[in-house]
Amino acid sequence: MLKEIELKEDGRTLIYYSFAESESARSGLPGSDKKGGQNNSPSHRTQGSN
Amino acid sequence: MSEMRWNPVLQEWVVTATHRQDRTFLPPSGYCPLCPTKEGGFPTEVPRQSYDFVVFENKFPSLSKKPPLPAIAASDLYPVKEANGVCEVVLYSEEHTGTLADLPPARVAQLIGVWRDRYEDLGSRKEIDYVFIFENKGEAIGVTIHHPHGQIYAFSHLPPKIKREIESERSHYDKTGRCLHCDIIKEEESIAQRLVCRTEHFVAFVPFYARYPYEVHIYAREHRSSLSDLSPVEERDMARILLTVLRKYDRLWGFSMPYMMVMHQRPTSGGSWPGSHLHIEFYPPMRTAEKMKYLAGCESGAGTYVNDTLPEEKAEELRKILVDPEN
Repeated sequence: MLKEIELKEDGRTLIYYSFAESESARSGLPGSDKKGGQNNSPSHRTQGSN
Repeated sequence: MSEMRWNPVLQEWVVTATHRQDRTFLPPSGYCPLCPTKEGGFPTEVPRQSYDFVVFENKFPSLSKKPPLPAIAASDLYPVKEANGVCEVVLYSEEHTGTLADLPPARVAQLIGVWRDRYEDLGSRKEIDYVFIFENKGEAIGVTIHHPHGQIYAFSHLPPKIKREIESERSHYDKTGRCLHCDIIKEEESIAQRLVCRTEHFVAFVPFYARYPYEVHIYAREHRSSLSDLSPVEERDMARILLTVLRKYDRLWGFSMPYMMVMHQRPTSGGSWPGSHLHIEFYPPMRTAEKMKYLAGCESGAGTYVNDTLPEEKAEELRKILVDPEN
């Protein structure tokens, strides 16, 4: 999954998501199978991660 | 003008967003703001001429990252606060016509990946307590643009229905040590009367307590609290059951079924949510091919829904419709 972020003229965010043909949402992503590890989940976020 | 006003009677926030009165309303297909911008054509929301999926912040948001100060003064009785949050639009396809049900399963699995990314991205922001993914489909629901799309509202508070659901989850967990939704799934799979369809990892049924005649809930059969907990195999399986339900709806009367589709999952405000269980709820507003189910006096004024049908019969109707989610 390729994610490209652009800023519109009025300051709003626009994100393009693109996938290689036949690519599923997670294939090709490192550690894509989260079974046994859910560190990306919001409940595990660190304080001030924004 | 946009602000949150506290309703002390129902103990909930109401968003006032007066700028939304001027939002785009049923534009002709040649002037769709969600189509890619064509060479020499008018500029749409999407500058590129082609895309897989696009997510952008709503031009007419109910909630915003930099909300204006409330235009009205608060009082002890009537607290007021800024309408803080994020409202995003998710474009499913660059094609103007078509619906989620028309996408191939691999594309729906990719869309689930987009939803997961938005859930994690928005949920990681410290001011966001709940990421609410949904789709309103059809003019019967009040859709103002036909291009296939869904929405995401990232709330800075727990919305009232979610809060009530979480209180029920917590109470059941404290009493039994089990997830309420896991118990519901167990009961539904055991009785099987209200099942609509089932895959290896997901199950769809008309709930025992359905408010709408053709209401369907899709659940992860194992305890998964959010999209972040799904494996790639489960994501693909979720795409299959989603398409199965959508295509059954469209086959039911031979027209594209209007609906509200909402996703419930774990809050993102930190803390422990042992009872949160990922599920999607569909509320189609039709009770027959010609008649609508209106939220009238009893539903709107008393909060008690009257369902004119039996969930067991509606589930059987949907169950008998055979569809192929693979093509």
